Amino acid sequence: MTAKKSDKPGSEMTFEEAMGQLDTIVSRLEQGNVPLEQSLASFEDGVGLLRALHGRLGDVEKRVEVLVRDAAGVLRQEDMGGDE
Amino acid sequence: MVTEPGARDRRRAVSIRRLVTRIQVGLEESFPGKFWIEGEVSGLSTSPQGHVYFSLKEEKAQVSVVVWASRVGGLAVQPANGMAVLARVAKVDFYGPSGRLSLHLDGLEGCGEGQIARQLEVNRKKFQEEGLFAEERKRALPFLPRTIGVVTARQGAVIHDIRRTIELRFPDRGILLRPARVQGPGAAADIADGIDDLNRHAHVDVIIVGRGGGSVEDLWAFNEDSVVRAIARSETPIISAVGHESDWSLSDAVADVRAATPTAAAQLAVPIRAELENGLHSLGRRMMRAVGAGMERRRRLLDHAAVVLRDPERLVVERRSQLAGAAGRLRGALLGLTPQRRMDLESLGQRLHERLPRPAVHQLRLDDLGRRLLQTMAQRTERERTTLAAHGSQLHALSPLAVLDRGFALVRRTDGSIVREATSLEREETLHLRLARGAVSARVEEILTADGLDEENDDGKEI
Repeated sequence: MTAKKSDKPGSEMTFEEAMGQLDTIVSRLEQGNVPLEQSLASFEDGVGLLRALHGRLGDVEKRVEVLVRDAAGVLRQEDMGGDE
Repeated sequence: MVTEPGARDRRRAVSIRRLVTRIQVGLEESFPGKFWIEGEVSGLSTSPQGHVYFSLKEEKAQVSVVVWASRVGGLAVQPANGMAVLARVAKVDFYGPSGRLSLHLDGLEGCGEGQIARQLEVNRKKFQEEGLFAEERKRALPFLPRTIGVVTARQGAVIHDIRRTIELRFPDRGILLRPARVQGPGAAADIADGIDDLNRHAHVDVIIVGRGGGSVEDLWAFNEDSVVRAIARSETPIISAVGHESDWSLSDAVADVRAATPTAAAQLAVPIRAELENGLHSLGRRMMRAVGAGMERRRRLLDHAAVVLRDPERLVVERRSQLAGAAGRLRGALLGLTPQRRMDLESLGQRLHERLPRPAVHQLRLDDLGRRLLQTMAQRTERERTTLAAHGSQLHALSPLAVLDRGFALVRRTDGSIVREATSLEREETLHLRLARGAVSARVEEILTADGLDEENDDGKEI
């Protein structure tokens, strides 16, 4: 599993890219001279992006773990426990 | 006692054990007290019992040394590969069972800033030439990592600071710590393995590698080849946070981003959640306002049209009062005329009156039309108001789609363009009707001209 999980174009949009796209849509709608059919489509896209971005913020991992090598030399993750 | 191999009988051999003893005695005589030597540490290893073995070398010469486990804790600096040290030799030993000479050390000190700095410079130059520090190798950190990998000591301020900082900025991010020794024998190998482990076996989006402040020797592991190369080959972007603001290690130079402290590293790793949320909410509000304004503008145009349509009644009233005014003025004028002229005029007036349109009749028709218009508009306005109110402040209410929810359909041709004119269509043409929920395909059966429309037909149009 050495696949790089950072931001590559072509794969799913990063948070930053999606936010930039939403910003573009909002700016275009704010100019106000968009025909109804286009503003309709833009609004649908915008709502989709907004929902996805909010979802991403709530995408909780939450665990604090330690990567340890057991007696057999196999790596596994275990809970780290409280910090204080 | 020892028999010398003499010329008389060359084959009479000395036992190895005796030879070893002779060597040992000779060494003891040659090195009666403790002394210091200077060299560079290499080939460092630690036995399970905690004894530390390495070589001290300079150009074209090296010796094996050992520090017994009981002495390791008392060393002024912990050895690390590549480190230039002053070592105090307690004994020069020739160990019989292995046939090896080794120096027993009971003291180890750094060689002083100058020498370490020179050593660091040599390493830096080497990596520089290999291009490991090149700007184009640096990768951007992920904007919003799900899990942050950390390679540092399991205990201590570093992991504590990182956890606390991340929790403050963006709660609920995952943190995966790969504990590693950060100074002393084996530290560099452990750190390098840790970076490899997080790359190979774990799903982390960014890795923080670091330790707290200390002496140049304490931080030495982060200048060693193994750590520098592990950072260079990491698939996952790496933030290096070694020592304090003023400490610069080769790890800092090779990492994608250098942070002054572990806290700063955590700040670089995750954004502030509240700021992102505010940004999203602001974008959402702006979008709703923009779309709402567009819909409001269109609604106002509709309302204006409705007022104009409602107005004929008022227009008649106005004209009637103008007419009454004119009649009054006419009557006044008549009173000032001679009887004969008045009679003529009255007769003219009578004839004129007969030819005038019959206001009563027209008014009846207008009243009826007006009433029907008012009724229709009132119904329509009420319907729209109900729909808008029902959706309240929800996103949906401001969507152009809400128009569809009121029972209207968006009519498109197969090429996607919106249909506004019945006469622009052809019989049998396929149309796409977008409803509030779902869509249908329909075919044109008959095209009606404007005369054939009933009052509902204006609504589908964009105004």
